Amino acid sequence: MNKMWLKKTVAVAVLSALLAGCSNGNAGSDAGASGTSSPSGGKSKLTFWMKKQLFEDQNNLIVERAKQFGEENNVDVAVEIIAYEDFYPKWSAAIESKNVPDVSFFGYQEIGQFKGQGVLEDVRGLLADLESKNGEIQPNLKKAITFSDGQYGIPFWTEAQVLYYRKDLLEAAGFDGPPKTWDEFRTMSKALTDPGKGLYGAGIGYGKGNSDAEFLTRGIIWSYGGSVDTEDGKTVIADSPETVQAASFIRDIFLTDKSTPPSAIGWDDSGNNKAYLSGQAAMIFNVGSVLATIKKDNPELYEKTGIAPYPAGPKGTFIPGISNNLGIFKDSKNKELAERFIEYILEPDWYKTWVEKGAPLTGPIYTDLTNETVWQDERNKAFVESVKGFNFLGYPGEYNPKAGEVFNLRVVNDSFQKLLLETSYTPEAAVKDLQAKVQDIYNK
Amino acid sequence: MENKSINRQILVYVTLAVMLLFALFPLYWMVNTSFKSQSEIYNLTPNFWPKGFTWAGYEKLFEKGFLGNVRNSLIVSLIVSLFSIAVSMLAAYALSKLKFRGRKLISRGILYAYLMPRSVLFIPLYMLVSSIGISNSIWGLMLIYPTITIPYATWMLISYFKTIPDEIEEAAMIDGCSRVRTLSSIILPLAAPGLAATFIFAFTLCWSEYLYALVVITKSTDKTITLGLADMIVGDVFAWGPLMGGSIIASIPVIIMYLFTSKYMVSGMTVGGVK
Amino acid sequence: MKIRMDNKLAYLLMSPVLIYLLAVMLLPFGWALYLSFTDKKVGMAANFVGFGNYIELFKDEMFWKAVKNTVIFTVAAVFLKTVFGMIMALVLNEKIIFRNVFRVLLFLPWTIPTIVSVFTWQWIYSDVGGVLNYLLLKINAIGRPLGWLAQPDLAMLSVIVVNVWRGIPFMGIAILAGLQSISKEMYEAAMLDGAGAIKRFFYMTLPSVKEVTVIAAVMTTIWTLNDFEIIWLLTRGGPDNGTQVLSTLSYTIGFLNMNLGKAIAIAIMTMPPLIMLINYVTKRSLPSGD
Repeated sequence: MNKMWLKKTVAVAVLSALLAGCSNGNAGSDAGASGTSSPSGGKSKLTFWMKKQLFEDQNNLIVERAKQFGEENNVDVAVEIIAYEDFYPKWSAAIESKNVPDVSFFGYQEIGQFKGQGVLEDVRGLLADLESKNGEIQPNLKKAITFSDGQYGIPFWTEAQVLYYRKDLLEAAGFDGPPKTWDEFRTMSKALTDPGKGLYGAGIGYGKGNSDAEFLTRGIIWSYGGSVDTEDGKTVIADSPETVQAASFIRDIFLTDKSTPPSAIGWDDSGNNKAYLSGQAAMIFNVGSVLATIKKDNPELYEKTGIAPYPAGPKGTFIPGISNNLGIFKDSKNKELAERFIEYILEPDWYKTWVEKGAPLTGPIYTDLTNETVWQDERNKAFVESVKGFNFLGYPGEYNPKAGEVFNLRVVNDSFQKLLLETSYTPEAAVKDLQAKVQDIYNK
Repeated sequence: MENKSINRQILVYVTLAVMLLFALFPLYWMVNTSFKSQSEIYNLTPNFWPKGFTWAGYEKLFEKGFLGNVRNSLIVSLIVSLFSIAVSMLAAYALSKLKFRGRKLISRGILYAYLMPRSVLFIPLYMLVSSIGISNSIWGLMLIYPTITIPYATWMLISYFKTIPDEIEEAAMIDGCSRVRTLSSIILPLAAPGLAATFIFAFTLCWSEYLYALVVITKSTDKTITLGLADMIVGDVFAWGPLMGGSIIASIPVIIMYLFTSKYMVSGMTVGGVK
Repeated sequence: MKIRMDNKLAYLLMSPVLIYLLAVMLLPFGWALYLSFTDKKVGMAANFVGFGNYIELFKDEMFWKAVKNTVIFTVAAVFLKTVFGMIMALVLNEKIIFRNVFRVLLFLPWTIPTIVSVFTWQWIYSDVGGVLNYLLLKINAIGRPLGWLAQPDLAMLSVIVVNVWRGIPFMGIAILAGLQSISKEMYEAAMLDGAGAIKRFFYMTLPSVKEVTVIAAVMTTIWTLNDFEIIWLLTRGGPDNGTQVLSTLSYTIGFLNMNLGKAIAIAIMTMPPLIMLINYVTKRSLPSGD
C-alpha cells in the first residue's frame, strides 16, 4: 500500500514537473501521448518474451507464428526477442512492477527459482492436455519442472553439452576414437598438448560467469559419484572423497599436465568456442552452437570435427541437462490466452519445422520427434541421445530452487577458480569450502 | 633558447605520437576486425589488415535494422542533452552568480545527486516509468537519463560560469540591463565554449548508456545503439564483424558533432581574454 | 561589491532542475533507502530488518574484498586518467600542426559506447588471435601468451587500462578548456621574466587549471567508482573475485540472487565515503562558498 502511494505521488510529481518545468516541453507532452498502455479498441494483448536463438530463421519463425496466432484469435501479440544474459534484470524489473509478459521463456533453473518466489502459475493441466493431444514429452524434461505441488513450466526444447574433438589431431596423435572415460580424456589431452604450436588438448575453462563450466564440473563430479548439492534437499553432501577425487582430477589437467590454454581460467562462455574455432583446443565441451557456426562459416573445420557424448567416470556417464521451457506468470492478465498460445507454439507440425531449423543446438521435447531423420546424422546423434542421460541441478536430490541459486551464484566456479589459481590450496580444502558455501545457501 | 625550443617541440610531438598510438590502436583494431570474415577473425595469429576483405559484417548490420537503433539513440541523446543543458544552465547561473538563502545546501545536494550509484535507482526508476506507462519506449529513457546528465551539466556549468568575472555583469547592469538580459546577452555568449563542451559530454553519456536501456526497452523498434550492438551477441557466439562495424557507425555522429563544436570551443577564448 | 539577495529569481531559475531531481531522484532514493533496511527479494514482500543487511555485509569477507578492489580500481584509474589527461591537455595546448585534427583523434575513445570498447578490448586481450599477446611475443617481452583476464592481478590491470583508455579524453578536454582561459599576456609576461617551462607549469599553469582539474577528477572518481559495464563484461568480477568491485557485487546479489535489499545496501554504502571525499576536496578547492 505504502508503495502504491509512493508510486502515484512520484508519477504525478514527475508529470507536473515536466509539464511546468521545461520551456521546450517536448518530453512531457509526448510522454503522455505515446503511453504504451492505451488499449487499442478493446483488442486484448499478449506479450511473449522469447530467448534469442542463434539461428535467425528460428527467431523469424517464432515471430511469424505469433503473428498468425494474433490474426486467428484477434489479439495483438508482441514477441520480444531477448538475449539470455539480459533476462535477469528484465524479469526482476517486470516482477517487481507487476508489468509482466504473459508468456516467457525460462531455463529450468529459473522455473525453480521463480516458483520458489511464488510468481509462476501451475500449468500441469496444460501439460497433460498437450501430452494427450500431441504425444509423450520426454520424461526427463518433465522431471525438471515438476515439484511436489505442481508443474510450473512447459518444456520447449533441449540443449545438450557434448564432446567436440578434432578427428585429424586425435588421429595424428595415434588415437582411433574419442575418449570414453575421463581418465582417457586426461591422457589424450596431455598427448595432444603442444604449447610450442599453441595447441592444447583440453579446451575447458573457468571464467567467473561461465555457465558451461558450471555444468561441466557437475558432470565430472557426478560421474565420480560426488555431488555439490543434497540428497534430501537440506543436508549438503559435497564434502565427500568422491568430490575430492573429481576436484583433483580437474586440478591435474590444469596444473600438473597443463593441458589447458593459458587464459582458460578467465574464459567466459565464448572462451571454448573461440579456442576451438581458432584451432587452439583439440577437445571442448559445448552445446550445438559451435557445430552450427562452423558448419556455416568454416566447412573445413566441420569436416575435421567429431562429436561424442560425455566421457564416463567411475560411476558411469552423467550429463548435466539443459532444458528450456515456457511459463506463465501469476500476474499475467491473460492466462487463458497465454495457455492457448503455448499450445499453438507446440503444435507438432509447426514445432517440428522450428526445432529442426535449430538442429543440432535445439532438440525436440516430443519423444516421437527424436526419431526424425535429422537426428540420425552422425554428428547430430549425440545431441538427442544425451537427453536420456540428463541429470539436473540438485543431483542426487530432486531439482529445487536452492540448487538453482547455487548454480546462479557460480559457487562451483568460484571454488575451482581459486583451486586452479592458488597452488597451496588443496582439493580437500576447496571441497570443504565449497561444502560450507553451498550449505550456507541451503540454510537461508 | 633556439635549441631549447626545438627540444621542446620534439618532446611535444613524441608525447603526442605515444598518446595517439594508445588512443587509436584499439580503434584501428576495430576497423580491421570489421572487414574480416568470420574464419579469419578466429585465426590463431592475427592479421594486421584483412586478407579476405568483406562487407558482410556491415550488410548483416543493416539487415538487422541498425539504422533504427541509431535514430532512437540520436533522438534520446539530443533531446535529453539539450533539455539538460537548458535547465542546468539556469540553475548553474543562479548557483554561481546569485546570492540567496540555501545556495550552499542546494549546490551540495546537486553534487550528491550525481554520486548516487545506478544500482540504487535501478528498480525504483523502472517502477516509476512503468507506472506512468512509458516503459518499453524511448520516452522512458528520456525521463531517466537526465538523472545522469542534469547533475553533471549543472556542476560543469557552475565552474564555467565562475570563470566569468562579476565585473562584466555589473557593468552591464549599470548600463541598465536586467538580470535576464544580462544572462542571455552577456553571460551565455561568454559561456558558449563551456556549454558546447558540456553538451558534447552529456550527449555521449546518453549515447553510450546501456544498463537502464537494457531494462527499460524490450521492443525492437525502440532499441538504442548499445542494445542493438549487444544483440549481435547470441549466447556464446559473437558476431565480431557486425559488432565492430556497428561500433564504427555508432561513433560517427558523435565525431561529427565534436568536429562541429570543436571550432566553437577553440574560438571561445573570450573568457580568458577579459581576465 | 554589495551583497544582493536574489532569492526569488534564483529559485525561479533553479526550479526545473530542483523539481526534476526531487521527483526522479530524491523520492526514488528514499524508497531505495527504505528497501535497504528490509529483506526485500524480487517478487516477495519486504520485511523490515533494521540494519540487518548492513551488519551481514560488514561480516562478509567478500564485501571487504570488493571494497578493497573498488579502492584499488578507482584510485589507480583516476590517478592515471588525471596524469594522462593533463599531459594530453598540455600537448594539445602547444602550437602544433593540425591541432584540431589531433584533438579530435585523441577524443575518439570517449565517443565509442562503453559496451563496444569493452568488446574490442576483450578481443585484443584474447589469447586466441589476440593482438596484444601477439605483439608482446614478437618483441620478446613475454615468453608465452598471457591470460590477461585469467589471473586476478593481471585482470585488475587489464580492466584499469580499459577504463583509463576511455576516460583520458574527458580529463584532457576539461583541463584543456581550463588551459585556454589562461591569458596569453600572462604567459608572455612570465616568459619575459625568464621563468622556465617547469617553473611556469607549477606556478602558473597548474594553479589556474586547478579548479577545473579537481572538478573533472571528482566527476571521474564518481564515474569510475560506479563503473559497472567494463568490469562486468570483461571479467564478471573474476577470476577468483580478483576484480569483484562493489558495483558488480551489488548487481550479482540484486539480479542473479534477486536479493534487492542487500544489493541496494551495498550500493548505498559507497555514498558516505564519496560524500566525505567530495566535501574535503571542495572545501579546499572551492573557497568561494558563502
